[in-house]
Amino acid sequence: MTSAGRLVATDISVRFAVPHAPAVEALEGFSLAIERGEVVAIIGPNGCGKSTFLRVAAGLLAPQRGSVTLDDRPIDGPDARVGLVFQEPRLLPWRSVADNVTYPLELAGWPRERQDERLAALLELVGLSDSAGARPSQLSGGMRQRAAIARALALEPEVLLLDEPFSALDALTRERFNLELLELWDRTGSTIVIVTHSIPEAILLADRVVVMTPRPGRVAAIVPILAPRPRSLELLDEAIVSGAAAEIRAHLQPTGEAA
Amino acid sequence: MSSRRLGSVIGLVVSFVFVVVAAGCATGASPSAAAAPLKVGLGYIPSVQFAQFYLADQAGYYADEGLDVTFQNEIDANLVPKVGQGDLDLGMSDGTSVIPAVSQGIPIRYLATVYGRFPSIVFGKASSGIKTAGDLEGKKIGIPGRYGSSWIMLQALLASADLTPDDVEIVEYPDFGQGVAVAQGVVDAATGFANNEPVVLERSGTEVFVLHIDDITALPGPGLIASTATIAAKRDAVSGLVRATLRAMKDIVTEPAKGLDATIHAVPELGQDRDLQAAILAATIESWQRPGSSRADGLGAIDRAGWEASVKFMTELKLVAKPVTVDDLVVEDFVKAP
Amino acid sequence: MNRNAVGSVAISFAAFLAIWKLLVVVGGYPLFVLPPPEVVAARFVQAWVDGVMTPHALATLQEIALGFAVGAVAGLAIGYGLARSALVERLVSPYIVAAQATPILALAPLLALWFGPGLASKVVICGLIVFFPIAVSTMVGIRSVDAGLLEMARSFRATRRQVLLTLEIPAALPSILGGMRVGVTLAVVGAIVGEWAGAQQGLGLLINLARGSLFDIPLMFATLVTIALLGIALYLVVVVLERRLVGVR
Repeated sequence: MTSAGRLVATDISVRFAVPHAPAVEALEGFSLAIERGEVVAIIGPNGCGKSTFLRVAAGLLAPQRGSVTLDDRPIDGPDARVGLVFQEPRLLPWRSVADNVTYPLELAGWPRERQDERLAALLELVGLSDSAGARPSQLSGGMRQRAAIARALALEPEVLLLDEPFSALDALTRERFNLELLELWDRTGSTIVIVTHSIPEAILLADRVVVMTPRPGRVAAIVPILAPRPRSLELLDEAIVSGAAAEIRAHLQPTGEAA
Repeated sequence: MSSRRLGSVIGLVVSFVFVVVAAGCATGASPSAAAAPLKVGLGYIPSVQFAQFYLADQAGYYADEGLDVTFQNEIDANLVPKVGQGDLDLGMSDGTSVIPAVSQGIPIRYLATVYGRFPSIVFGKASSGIKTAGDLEGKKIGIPGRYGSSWIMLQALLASADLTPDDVEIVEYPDFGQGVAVAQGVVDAATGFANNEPVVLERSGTEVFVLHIDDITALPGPGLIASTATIAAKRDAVSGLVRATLRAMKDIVTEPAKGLDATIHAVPELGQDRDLQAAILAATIESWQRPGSSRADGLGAIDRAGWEASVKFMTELKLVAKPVTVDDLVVEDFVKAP
Repeated sequence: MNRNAVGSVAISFAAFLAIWKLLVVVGGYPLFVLPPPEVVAARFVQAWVDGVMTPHALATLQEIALGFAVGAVAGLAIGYGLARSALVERLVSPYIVAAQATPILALAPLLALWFGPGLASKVVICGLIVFFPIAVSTMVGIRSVDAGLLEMARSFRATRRQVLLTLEIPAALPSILGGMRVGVTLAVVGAIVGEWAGAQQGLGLLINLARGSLFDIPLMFATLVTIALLGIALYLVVVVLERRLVGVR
């Protein structure tokens, strides 16, 4: 269990220039404090800035104003303390699963034996131990995403950021992956920030759900999920949960839906 | 006009046109009903060294023999196979081509000598001190490439002094710039043509030396060739062409100006430097005659001994695939005195 | 190659030989214009056994190998520059295209004049002819690298060099090797053209010798066969290389 992972975003503003048109205010005055080991879901319609925020938190995008710190140290570029899982797996097609998972270790200059040790643990964590030698083209979409998650965890980040990681999967597989993510969180203890379109997914996973609205991108509401852990699928039917769902839905008006 | 009337008018016009065209074709076919057409490949671009052909054409010698001769006056790498195939009736070629060609089964025969002296020579500045083939040892010699009549001539020349190409330093000039290299002193000597590079060099005021292979071995120089099929089928025409060409050559030996004028008439661009062309023609005339023969007679005669020596030399150079005899190579009927 | 592929190659080759023989017989061509396949085959074998073909083949192979190496290295480097730098593309593209448009047959004598009749001019000519397809295929390949993968590598703090070695080159390999297939066959052409502008040894020279000095047309055809086989062999080398480097994706 890690004791680090407090992610604080302060007054983030991001503006994108658009040729021959007024600039897009992707984020304006966005502030959010995420505690150590918390699971936070960010939900909102397209263009509300949730993916933009994730990029800023990952150090891939510099905001025009504001800052992000992790345990009081600023994030001003790609950071080993932050792991990132994209919507598509983004695996290198010419490498095996094993070589893909150890890619960050290779880039960081880890010696071969250390890489192999870590690889075994990571594959076991995501349930890919039997597929180490396979090529991404030989795997299903879900298995590829598992490999991407394993890769994101390679350097033991304190924070794991996931940008709609399961949106390409069918609903049933998605539920299974949600539960596996919870298991993973239980074992690693990292802070998790997940961007999603799915209200059930947000409720199942998160301690708090951040609802965002677009133009400009800002926080509309933060809905706490008080359901006890460990979470289960049956939970989705509880009154607590449907109350929370109703509240989230209310804040997503007038656009009406999360997707 | 009714359509029937239109139809008959068109029919009349068409018949009229047809008759006119047919008549035109018949009359346009040849200058006279009896003139035999012959195509001759000269193998090089227009030059004063073909003066005899221009003169014979313009003075009507070919017409006198009942011939209508067209010349291909261009560099042609496929001249020998074309003559062998019959695409050209006659061509110009020398022993270094005829011998391997016949040996490889190309059915050609050499039927009249044009160059009594082998025109490919080794030349250089007299100041280099080179006087004989033996003096070439260790010297830098410029050549266009390790092929062709000049390469064979060089090997024969060196062999006469018991030397091989390994005993000299060969420098290759694929763009035929070896003459310039001699003038600039980059090489001590070079291969060239008797009527070309040494003439040009001398006119620039430099004294030159020239080594002729025929002073050592008589290699047969360029002459007229034809395929055995052409000789059989067009015997009279071939005979007439040889006669007319030799006639023009005799004229030019006696009166070189005639050849010069005919050339400039045929190739006006050469008139820009009459003196140079006259010098080249003089050197060419010298090459027509075998050393030791008197002027103007003996032109065209085939030197069997020279051919035998060439076959022997080229066999030693491994350029003769199947053995050949002089009778496989030459036909003397057209140049024997009647 | 599986048995079906071998079978179809054999059949098409047999058909080719049959058509050739038919052409000779029907056209009545003499040996010194179009020799029939069996004569060429016999002359081919004899030329190798006699040792006539070997030194020339080795000389040409050497020119091709060096020329291809030079052209490929230049092509890879410039291709990468063209892909990643708009400035390089603006500065260099016009000259590259102009050089490619100028027929190598016209440039060869000039290059032979500058670089001499030895190996150097052939290597330059080969290199020039090989450069363009490899530069273009490298540029296309590097540009086609998925932007998402580049961002992923960036998120793991890959250095410029690491991006090049672990991402850009492997991603561009199929395109680069495609360009090399073209390049290697062009290199054969380049070597022969270079030899025609002046050479002491080589298959191009042997063609000229066979045709113009020896009047041995079967040998000329046998040399053409050698050149064709050389081209095919080199092409297959690239194909095998492609299979090993690109692998399953």
